[in-house]
Amino acid sequence: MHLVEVLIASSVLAAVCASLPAAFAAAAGASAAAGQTTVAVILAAQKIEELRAAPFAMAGPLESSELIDVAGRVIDGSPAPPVFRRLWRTEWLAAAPDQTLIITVFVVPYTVRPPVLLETPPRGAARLVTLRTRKAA
Amino acid sequence: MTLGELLIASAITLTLMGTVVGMTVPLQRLFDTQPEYGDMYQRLRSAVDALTGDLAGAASPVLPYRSGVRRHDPDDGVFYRPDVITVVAGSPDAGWASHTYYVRHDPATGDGQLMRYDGNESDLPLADHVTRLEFAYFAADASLLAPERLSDGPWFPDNEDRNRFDMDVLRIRRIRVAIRVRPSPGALRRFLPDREIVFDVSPRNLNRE
Repeated sequence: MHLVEVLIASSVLAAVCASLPAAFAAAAGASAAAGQTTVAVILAAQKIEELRAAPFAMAGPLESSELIDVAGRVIDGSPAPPVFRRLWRTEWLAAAPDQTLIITVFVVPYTVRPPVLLETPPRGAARLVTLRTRKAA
Repeated sequence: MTLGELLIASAITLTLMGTVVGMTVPLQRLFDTQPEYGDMYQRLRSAVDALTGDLAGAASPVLPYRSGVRRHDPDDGVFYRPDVITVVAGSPDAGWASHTYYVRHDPATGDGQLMRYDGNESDLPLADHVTRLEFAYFAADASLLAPERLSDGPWFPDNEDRNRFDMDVLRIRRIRVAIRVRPSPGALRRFLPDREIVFDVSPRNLNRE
C-alpha cells in the first residue's frame, strides 16, 4: 500500500467521521424541539381553558399576547427571561355571530421573531383552535 | 512502501483513531441522555394530562387535602395541604369519580411518585420521579385564597360531619399547579436538569355564567 492510498482511505474515514456529529446534533435538536412543543401545548391548552371559563362577554372578540418564562409563568414585570410568547385571538364564527366564538391560541418560542404568522407554526410551537358557544338562557 | 511512508501513514491513522475515540465519550453521553430526555417529557405530559383532565372537569367542592375512605385528612383535623388536591369529576351520564392527587416521597432517595387515590381503597402511581407538586387557589376576582382561609371554617354542612369542608373552598375558580419531574436516578442527573412547569386550570363547572 502506498502513502497516496493511505491518504485517500484516511480522507474517506475523516469525511464519514466529520458528518456524524452533525447528525447527532440534529437529533438532539429535534429532541429539544419536541420537549419545547410539549410545554407549548400545555401553555396553549391553559389559555384555551381560561378563555372557555371566562364570562362570555369577556372572552371576545379580542386579540392579545404575553411573554412566559421557562417554568410557564407569565412575565409581568419580573426579571425572568422570556422563553415563550403566547398569542390568542377570539373572533365570531361567521355562521353564528354573537353566538359562537372561534378561539385560537398560539405559543411560539421567544427566539422566533415577530411577526409570527398564526397559519404557519414554526418548530417548537403549538397552535390550538376551539369553538365556544353561548349557552341558552 | 518505505519506512518513511509507513511512519507517516501510521501517524495519520493514529491521529484519526484518536479523534474517533475522543468523540465516543461525549457521544455516549448524548446517546444516554436523549432517551431519558424524551422519557422525562413523556412523564411530564402524562402527569399534566391527568391533572388537567380532572381539574378542568372538577365539580364543586375542590378540596385541598386527601378525602376518602382511607386516611381521610379531616379525621386528623387536616383541612389544607399545599401538595394534595381532591376533585370530583365526571358527568351525570358517565358517573362521578373522586380523585386525590399527591406525591409519595421516598425519603431514602429523595425521589417521588405522582399518585392518584380513588377515594376508596386504591392508591395508584401515575408518574415516576416527580419531585414537586404544589397547588394554589384563586377566587373569581383573581385573588389568592390563602391556606388559612381554606381551613378555618365556617364548615359545611356542620362542625361535626366527617365530610365537612371549609365553605371558602366554594370560592375557588382557578387552580395553579406546579409540577417538577427529574431524570431517572444515576449519572444522567448531572447532565439533564429537572423540568418544572406551572400552569393554571379554570374548572368549567366552577365558572359557569
